[in-house]
Amino acid sequence: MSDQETDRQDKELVLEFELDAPPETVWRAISLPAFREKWLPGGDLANAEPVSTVPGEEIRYRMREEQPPFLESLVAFQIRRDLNGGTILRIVHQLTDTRQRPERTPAANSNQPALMCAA
Amino acid sequence: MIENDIFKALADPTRRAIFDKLANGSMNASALRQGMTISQPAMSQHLAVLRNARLVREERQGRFVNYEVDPEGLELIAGWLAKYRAYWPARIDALKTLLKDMDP
Repeated sequence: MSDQETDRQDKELVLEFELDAPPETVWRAISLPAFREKWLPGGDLANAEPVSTVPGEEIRYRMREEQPPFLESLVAFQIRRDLNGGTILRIVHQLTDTRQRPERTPAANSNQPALMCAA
Repeated sequence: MIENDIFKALADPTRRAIFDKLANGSMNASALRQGMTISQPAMSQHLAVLRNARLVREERQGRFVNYEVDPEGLELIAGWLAKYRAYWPARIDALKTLLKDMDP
């Protein structure tokens, strides 16, 4: 299913998938929110609005984990026509979380449970 | 090998639980122990193993020490990669199902 996989860098995942549908259809499925929601739920995205769009070629979304450690990432979906009229969908998913040190609870010596930040 | 250290460090369910707790934010050892039936020396030992595997780092504040997930640590990245390596094929299966129902 995943035809090719290379981790070009430590923090990046690159996957390619062959789809039978033509690029025009795939483009609608990955770019129109009502379709996108059916296979890539908005809850998995940091923002349902794409970061950038190159119509018919590439769309990028920001993602954020729903569970700790809530890492943020950027995913690009790139499509191109294959020789049989289907589509090659390439996913380039980068871990972009640049978090610095987590905030500290002020009184680390209070011997009380540490407060957890609301997500 | 650091990867082997990570594997060993997290193979223990107690350490896995400690690590998951710290993923929510930094904590001192006594706060970590709350809700766990574990002695203070045992907690110290577990934290030492996690620290040696570079999963967790400590920060001293005066006499007190806070523990936190090491954001530069390999485990965060390895966990993230493993999660999404499994995630995308499942999403693409859903996409294929959707594409079958769509007009070309």
